[in-house]
Amino acid sequence: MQVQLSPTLARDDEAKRAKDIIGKCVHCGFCNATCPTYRHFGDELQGPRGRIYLIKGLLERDEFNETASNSLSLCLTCRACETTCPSGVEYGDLVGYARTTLARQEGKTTLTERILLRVLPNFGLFRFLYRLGRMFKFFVPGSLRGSLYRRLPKLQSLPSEGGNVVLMQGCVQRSLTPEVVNHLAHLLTSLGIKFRVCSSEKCCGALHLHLGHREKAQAFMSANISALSLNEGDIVLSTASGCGSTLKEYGREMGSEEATLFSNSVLDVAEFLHQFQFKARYEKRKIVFQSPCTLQHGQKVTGVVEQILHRAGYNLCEVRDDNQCCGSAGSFAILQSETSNALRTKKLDALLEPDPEIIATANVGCQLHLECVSRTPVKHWIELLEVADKT
Amino acid sequence: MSSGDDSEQIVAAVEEAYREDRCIAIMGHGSKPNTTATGDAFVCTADHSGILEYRPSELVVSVRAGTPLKELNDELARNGQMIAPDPPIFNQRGTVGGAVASGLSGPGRPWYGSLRDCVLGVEVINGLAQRLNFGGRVIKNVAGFDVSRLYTGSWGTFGVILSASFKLLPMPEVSFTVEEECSDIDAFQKLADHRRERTTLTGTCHFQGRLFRRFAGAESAVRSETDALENCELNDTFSWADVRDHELSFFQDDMPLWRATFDRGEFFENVDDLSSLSEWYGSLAWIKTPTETPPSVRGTNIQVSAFRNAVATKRSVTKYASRLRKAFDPKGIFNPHIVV
Amino acid sequence: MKVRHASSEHSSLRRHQVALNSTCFVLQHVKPIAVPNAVALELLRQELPQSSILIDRNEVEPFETDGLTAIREQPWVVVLAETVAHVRSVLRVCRECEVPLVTRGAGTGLSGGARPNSDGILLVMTKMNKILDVDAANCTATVEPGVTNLAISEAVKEGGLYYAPDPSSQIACSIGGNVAENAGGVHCLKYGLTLHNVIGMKVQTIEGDELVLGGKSYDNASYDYMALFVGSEGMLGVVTEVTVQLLPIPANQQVLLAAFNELERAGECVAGIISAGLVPAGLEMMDKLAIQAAEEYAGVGYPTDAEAILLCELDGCLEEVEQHAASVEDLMRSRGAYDVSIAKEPKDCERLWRGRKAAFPAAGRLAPDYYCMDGTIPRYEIGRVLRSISKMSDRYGLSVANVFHAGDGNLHPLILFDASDKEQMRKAEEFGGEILECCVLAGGTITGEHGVGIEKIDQMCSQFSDVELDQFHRLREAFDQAKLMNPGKAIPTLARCSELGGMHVHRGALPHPELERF
Repeated sequence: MQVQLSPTLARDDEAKRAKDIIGKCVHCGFCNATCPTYRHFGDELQGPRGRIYLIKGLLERDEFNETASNSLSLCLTCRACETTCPSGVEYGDLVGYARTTLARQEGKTTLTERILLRVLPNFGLFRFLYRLGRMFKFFVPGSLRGSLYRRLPKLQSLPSEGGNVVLMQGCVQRSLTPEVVNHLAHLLTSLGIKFRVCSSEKCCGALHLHLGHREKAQAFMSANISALSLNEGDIVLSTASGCGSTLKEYGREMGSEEATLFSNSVLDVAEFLHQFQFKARYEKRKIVFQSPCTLQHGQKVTGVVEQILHRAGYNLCEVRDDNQCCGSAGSFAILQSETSNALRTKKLDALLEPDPEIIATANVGCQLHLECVSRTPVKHWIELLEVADKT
Repeated sequence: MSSGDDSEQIVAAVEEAYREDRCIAIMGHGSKPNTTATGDAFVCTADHSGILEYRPSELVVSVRAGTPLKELNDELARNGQMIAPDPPIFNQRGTVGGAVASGLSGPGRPWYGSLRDCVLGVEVINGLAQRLNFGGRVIKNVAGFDVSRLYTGSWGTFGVILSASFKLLPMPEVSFTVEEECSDIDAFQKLADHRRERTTLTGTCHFQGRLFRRFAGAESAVRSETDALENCELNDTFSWADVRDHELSFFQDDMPLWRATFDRGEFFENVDDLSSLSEWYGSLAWIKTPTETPPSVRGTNIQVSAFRNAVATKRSVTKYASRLRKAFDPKGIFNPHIVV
Repeated sequence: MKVRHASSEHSSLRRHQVALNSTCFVLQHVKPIAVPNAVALELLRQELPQSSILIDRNEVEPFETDGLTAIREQPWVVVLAETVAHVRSVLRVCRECEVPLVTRGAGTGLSGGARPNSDGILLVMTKMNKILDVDAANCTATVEPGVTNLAISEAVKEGGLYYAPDPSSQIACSIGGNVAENAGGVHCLKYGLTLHNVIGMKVQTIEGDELVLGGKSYDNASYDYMALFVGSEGMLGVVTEVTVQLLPIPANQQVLLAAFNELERAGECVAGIISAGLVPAGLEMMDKLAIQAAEEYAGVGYPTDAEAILLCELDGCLEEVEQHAASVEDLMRSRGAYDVSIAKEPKDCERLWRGRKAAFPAAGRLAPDYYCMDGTIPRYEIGRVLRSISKMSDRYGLSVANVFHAGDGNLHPLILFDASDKEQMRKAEEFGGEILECCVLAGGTITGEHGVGIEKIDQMCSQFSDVELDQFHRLREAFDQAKLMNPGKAIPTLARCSELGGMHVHRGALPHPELERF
């Protein structure tokens, strides 16, 4: 599709790049078919094709537009559309551009958004407020109350042994599901692999990026790049596919050589572990795997976790509509709780259809989102494994 | 094979009728019952005959309306092809145009589709004496409204059909008929099981307590399916053309004959112990009654029509039907006695 | 209730629009954005939930075009219907206030059939997406029009059934849109088009009637309204319910992939397969450019060095499929295929089709824009027509990727161009028109499955004579006397045709003396 850039944007490289991305779109509408919000609302304005068209409007007129803003705030950025798109439209990038532009044009951020951006990446503050929230549930807004079901686990610090493998601990994951990284540490130790953690690790920047606060996101990125100070050959392992997906974007976001080295070093833990043999840790063998969007569409890692689990001896059942988002999508679950909950219901229906004993996932956001309403336990797939006996 | 272009005379006849405000009845061979016409004049298409174009590798034939259907079928069969819905040929007569105008399909309807499904194009004369072409000779064609299929089953009320093109199919390699004794309810249930599977079943006929099934296709497939059937015997003499053309002894009397069609999943429950014959998984029933009183039938969306030796109940004309008819024939000159 | 309105304004606007439309379609229409029709808007607001009515420029803009983006026009109002009652309300408002109405499904059409009118309402059916009933025992399903083509097959898959027509956009296109365009797909030779697989529907007319057409019976004593409505491009009524027939999923399926060094060899091979009395479930041909684009997206293993490939699908019971696959393979090799591979597992078959189904949008990788044609020709003309297209391609200096439903003679040349270059755009359009006229001359048609819409409306004048077009107009008026439904689409006015090419003599028929011309 042709975009007639607004004269005010004629020298804006970002806008030109957005224009080129839209240039690839042929408006075929295939993307709508796999877009969770289009499927939910049945409205062109709530699907990728409509959103691209709205962004086209932003580029052509260079003025804030509430329709675009509302539509983009309902976009999960699950990027299922990118997987579906035959023409190769880089939708994720395009939306990133538009969000930043809209945030700049609007010039204000809602209170909830501000609180989220402040609290979630701040480990200490988050734990403090979470504990407070659990004590005074009554005062917590309804949309948040549901997510306070987990007891805050005790903090354990991991040994840092050196070696070229770095474990990213994540911010929310470190607070609420530290057992994932702990178990991974245990697996690595059993495999005889040395690893290190970085005590000054910051949020990966995903939250800010998702809400259009690009500069802040980039500040986090620089902080992480210098905190980890990677060498050639280092491997950064991410257990939360949401973080992993963003960590892999550092190079493109920042454009520097260091950042490219950083993002090239990042692996989702599945990409690293699939070379090893594991056995099932639980007797409950019938499981399903919910492949997070950030894993299958964001990082394009498909079938790898499935293979590891299958080889470990689990009976992995097929899931209907497995390309569909669970509705968690970072801050989406809190900012758009109604839509998010509707998508979760659909996702759980599909996941529970084969009547599994455990639901496995690969991202802390999805895990927490599903867990708070699921009777079937939801675990990170790492937790289902034990190192196989040497034969 | 007979061949001749009589189109100019036919156009002239329609022009005259249009000019002089007279009605005309359209006739081919007059082989269809219950269509006896009363009009100021007849237009007969029988002399407008012959194949216009036939390339077996295209699976398409174009033919003039007056061509005897039997002759066309023979020519196609020589090339191993057929008009799959297999319209009837009553009393050895019947033209291609008549087949299209009546839109009747043979025993293979549920499997091969209806006659309208394989009509690709028509040349017609409308009520303004205009000669028009719709559709064409290709399988896929969505330019303009699908008028050629609309003419199928319109019983001449939209005008004279001059020629038609059909999509063809290769004839099946083999065709076997199996016969068994079976009540009508049992037959219906037995057949219902066939719907959900891909089989080579291409025809069913049940009458006088016997069920006949036709299996046709690749020999290997037909053999393996018929071999697996129990309590059935092969019948080499049963003629599906006789079912289609009403040549079976069941049809050979003067009793009033009714045609009833049922929804998929329903069939004729013969509560009054009438004589009946069913086809199409039981969804089409031919019913004979001792008097001219229509048979009583149960079910949803049933359509009963008088077919032979009985008088059809007058049908009311709907708003859109009469408008459609006017759209083709503003003066109402064609087949005024027929209500569709 | 009768509502008065400024009718003179309307008619002058419509004349304006006709004049604009008759210029080359690639020009963007410069028109006033909306005609304030306060009465109509007030009526809509009384009858529909506020959230169903979009009127703000930013809200309606994404609806200005369908799958053919060269043609666009912002609608005055968009209504997202959720119920039949909403549809009936919209129809009533349009009737009473004489507002033009365009109905839109998923907006994937390739002929601009759902391009809105700036003085009209765009009625969007995608929210009506419920599957109402699946009667697995009798192999039928009844659905709302916004259900996607693929969703039907997915909903009945467990019962071992599927819905046969599979246009390439089946993942996204709606069944209502399929009905409007009589959509085809890659399996038409054996399983027919939408027309052959839709057995019943409910239609709302602009006069306020609900027509219940067809049903679960195998034939109907009335006129075949279904034949008229399927493929009527939204000009006769709004479909609010569709009943389709389902087929049992074939027990066995094999897909043969043959690679050729010459395009024409592949064409001859197609004729050979049909002449041998075989009816493949699907028979598709792609040329080098199309193969490369599809392969780049789907990575399914097409031979990118071949000049042409044929994909041939056979289905049925095992014995039959084995027997026919062997014959087809022999035919392919004897007609010059240098490589033939066979996929027998469902996953492998699906993989081979995936590339083909994404071929159109994947062409978006070859050039900034493409223009997809849809002519159908008798199969024996394939070689000759492809040669002509290749000559035209040289003459216009624009590349063409050919994707071809070879089994039924339906050609899809994709003309590649860059729309930001006005000269290329004009050439692409002219090139397309010439291809279609070449199809008509070869005894074919200008559109096999995409519909006429606004895109091919001028070529209708070469396929049909004035009297034939006039007959179409009378048929349309039988259902919509005020001609409010999808105005300006599918059937050109005689005035337009005479403006286009002077007096057009068609198949030897005389032009019409009694009709007024200017």
